[in-house]
Amino acid sequence: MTHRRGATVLAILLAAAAALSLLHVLAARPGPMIRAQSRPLAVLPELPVRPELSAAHLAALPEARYDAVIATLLPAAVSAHADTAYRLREDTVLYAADRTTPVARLAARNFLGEPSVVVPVEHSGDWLRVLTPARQRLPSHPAGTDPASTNSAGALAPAQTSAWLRADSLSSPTILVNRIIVSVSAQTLSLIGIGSRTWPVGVGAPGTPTPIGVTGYLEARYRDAAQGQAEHPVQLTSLHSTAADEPFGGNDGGLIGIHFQASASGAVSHGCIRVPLEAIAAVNALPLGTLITIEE
Amino acid sequence: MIALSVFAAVLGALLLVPLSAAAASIGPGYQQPGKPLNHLGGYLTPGGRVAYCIDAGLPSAVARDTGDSGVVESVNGLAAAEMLSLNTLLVRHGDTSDANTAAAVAMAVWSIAGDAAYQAEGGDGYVLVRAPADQRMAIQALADRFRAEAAAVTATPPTAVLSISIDAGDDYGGILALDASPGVTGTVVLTNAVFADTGGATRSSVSAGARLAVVAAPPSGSTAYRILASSSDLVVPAAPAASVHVYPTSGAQTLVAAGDSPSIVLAASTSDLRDRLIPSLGTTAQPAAEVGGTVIDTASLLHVPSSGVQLRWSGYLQPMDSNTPQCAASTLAFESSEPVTITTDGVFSSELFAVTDRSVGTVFWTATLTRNDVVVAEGLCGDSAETTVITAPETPLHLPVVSG
Repeated sequence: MTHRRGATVLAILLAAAAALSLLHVLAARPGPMIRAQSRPLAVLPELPVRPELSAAHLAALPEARYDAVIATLLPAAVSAHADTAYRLREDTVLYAADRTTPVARLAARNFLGEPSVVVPVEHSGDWLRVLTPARQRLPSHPAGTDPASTNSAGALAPAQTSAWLRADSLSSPTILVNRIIVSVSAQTLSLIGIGSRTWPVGVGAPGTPTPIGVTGYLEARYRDAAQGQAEHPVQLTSLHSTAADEPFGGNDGGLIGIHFQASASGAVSHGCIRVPLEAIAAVNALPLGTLITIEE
Repeated sequence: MIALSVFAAVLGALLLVPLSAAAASIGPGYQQPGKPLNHLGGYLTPGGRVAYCIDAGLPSAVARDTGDSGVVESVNGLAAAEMLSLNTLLVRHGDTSDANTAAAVAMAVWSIAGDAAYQAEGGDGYVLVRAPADQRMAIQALADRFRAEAAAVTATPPTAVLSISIDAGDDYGGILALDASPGVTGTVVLTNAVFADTGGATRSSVSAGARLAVVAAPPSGSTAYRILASSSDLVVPAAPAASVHVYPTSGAQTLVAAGDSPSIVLAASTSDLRDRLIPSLGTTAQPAAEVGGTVIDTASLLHVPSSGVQLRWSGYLQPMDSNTPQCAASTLAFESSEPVTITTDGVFSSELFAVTDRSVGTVFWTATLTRNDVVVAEGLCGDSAETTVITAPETPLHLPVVSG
């Protein structure tokens, strides 16, 4: 080999090494708000489904649905992480923190007759803690008045609850590649993940604020002309108002939703996030179970 | 002299006592003094029966072999009517021990069996001299009476006729009549009917002249039918037949005694003159209903009797997916609160049956027509036109109202 040829080869090798180093650096930079799980939840233990309670006992448990208040549910953490959503094999028992005491049941099909979406946010052996759609306490009921409640005295009623269930209760995983971040102070909604975008949105008025410092999930979506949403589906989240039992009246549990509004800006809502046309279309395209975090 | 007396006694014995056991002998009546064979009255057959001569002018049968020809239907060429008169006379009066009666019977027998020969011999006047003078008027009177009786006998064959009428205003009613000559008594059996007073289809001791109310009992599965009535044991009381018992004597008088007096058993049957119609029933039920609503059924009726029928509905509830209709007490869910009385043809509706949440499923209806608590028509369980599907109303889906 001549010196000229050798220099060329060396240059090529150095360039390749530099490229590889660059790629390594890029790969090592942490993505915003997405943290690696200590265990890939997409792979569930292949355990046979074992009967937990008799059908009668299961039916006797309160159903953890959007309009229920179940004091024995656990408050959810401020932040939560999930990369997979699931369905239930069948109506399933929800347990307290001791993973022994049944506290509620989660129906395999929701109020629409569609498969219920379940989002695990913690695991421990064969157990998973999942976000649940029911309330733990009404905002009008002071903390500590219900001995069954796990709230500490003085705390706001949780906007999001959780409970434990057996991992073998779940099936049909759906990978979650995006997350919704709402900033109440900035009055924005952002999609984080693939195709990140941000839109200005309307949030709760001072008297009926949108709960902050909470993480829930997209629970269901539906069109409802009675709510003025005949064209663009309401995106029901698992979150509830922390300021009032029913900030918009009714009996459905102070539900926090994302819905289209032609004039989607300002602190004007009863707690919901009002979004423009493009935003509702983007959110509507996300799989149910997608996490939504509402920050101050 | 003694020998002559003995001879006369023997001769007299021979004359008075049959020479053989097959000879007839003198019976009740009178012998002409000095002429013992000139007898007016009856004879005794070898078997001991009282018999009478029918051949005036022939020698007496006494001391001659008398045969037994049994009961015959004709003697001396007599016709059936004369045989009947002769036998009637002998049955009524012939078997007697009274001399006057026997004498009168003998005179009447000659008149019936051979009056020409009797008159040629001299008739009543000729034979009456055989009787004591003080009895002759009485004997003549009896003979005349017996002759009149015999002449009045007619050879009318007995008859028995059953008939059934249909009530003009009601196909279910009628009258059973038994007419007979002479009077009869027997058992009558009805088909498709019962006697109104007993409810039974068989009645014994029905006599001529009976008029009995009957009620139709329509057979199941038919649309038209008739009532039948029959009897096979209508007994006519025993009466003389046109036959006599004959005892011939060769070369001498033929004797006759009473012949048969049989009782006769008649049979009779009848049926309606026209078909009786059974009310027909066609029904249609409301095909679907919802909890909280009502169900109605309608019936079309034909051939309804003016006396009326009762109409009622029953509904039998089974699961929605049931393929085998079961109309039984265990599945009965609906029933008419009271039957409807109907007296004319037409279309009639049931009451409104209220549907509750306990009625969800398939209801199979049957309508029933009764008359006096007897089913006369009934719908078929499982008829597709008599099926109602009851559903629970759909609960409107409530969509959660977000806080807005």
